Amino acid sequence: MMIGEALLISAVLFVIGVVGVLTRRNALILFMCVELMLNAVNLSFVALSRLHGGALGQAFVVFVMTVAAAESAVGLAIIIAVYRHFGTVDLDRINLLRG
Amino acid sequence: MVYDLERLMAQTHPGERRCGTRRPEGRVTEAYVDQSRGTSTTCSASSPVASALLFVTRKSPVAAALWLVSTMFAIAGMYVLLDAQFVGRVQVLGLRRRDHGRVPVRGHAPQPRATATPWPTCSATACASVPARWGSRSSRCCSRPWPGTGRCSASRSRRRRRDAGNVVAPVAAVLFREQLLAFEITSVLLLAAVVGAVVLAKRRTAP
Repeated sequence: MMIGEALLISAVLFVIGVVGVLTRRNALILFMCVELMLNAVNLSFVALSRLHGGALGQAFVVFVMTVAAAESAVGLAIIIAVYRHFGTVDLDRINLLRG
Repeated sequence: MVYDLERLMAQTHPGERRCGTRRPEGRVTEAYVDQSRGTSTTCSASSPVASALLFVTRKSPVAAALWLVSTMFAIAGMYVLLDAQFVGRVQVLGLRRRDHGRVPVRGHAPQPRATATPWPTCSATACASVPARWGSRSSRCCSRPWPGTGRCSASRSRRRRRDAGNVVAPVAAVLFREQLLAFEITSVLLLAAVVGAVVLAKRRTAP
């Protein structure tokens, strides 16, 4: 597979994730959009790693996956706590920190 | 233009020659190679984008999660096409312990260690089944043992094939040598995140 095509697909996936973060109001879907953005970054890491002929990019993908797993665990726990407190995960209805 | 299949295999699978194995015969045309390459590229490029679009446009979180899983699978396929089989496997399945962490690539399943013979001895019967057209290669393979060892050089081709299919070793070398501190910090971070998630999600009971 060509490197340029992989980078292009990575950019498209990242833009789709950004659009999802900006347009959706459900906290769960928001987290999934962040996961999509991280996967797009991982894809560009792998493509650039193949371009440069090393394995450092693949190692960084492992790091990113680990950090994404940690972020998902803590984020889902926070969402569960928010749902218990407010009864919804709609971000428009959660105004606890509004100034 | 007509491609020689054996030459293509020698270029794309440099470590898969071995003594006594009949290699596939046939010739493929340039149009067939271009068509296969174009088809695989189109499928691998369109499926993650389409799945991601369907993921973002679904209103139900369950449907969105399922389309996100589809996107992850498609991205894992792209990892494999980019020669990152280890990352693709981690993306889909995670590391499994039943095959000792080795990743089967290019259609070769890992052999069990109990039945593997890494250092076969050279014998006349070992090369008796070699076809006649491989005569020169088989004689070169079995007549020159490794210097100072007396072992058959067929093991050299087997080791070369194993090294060519080993996609874990470069990643492991980076993780466990160059980035060892970052690896340890990341593992501690993951452990702290798991503990924090359990604490946050635990239902509080009234005293």
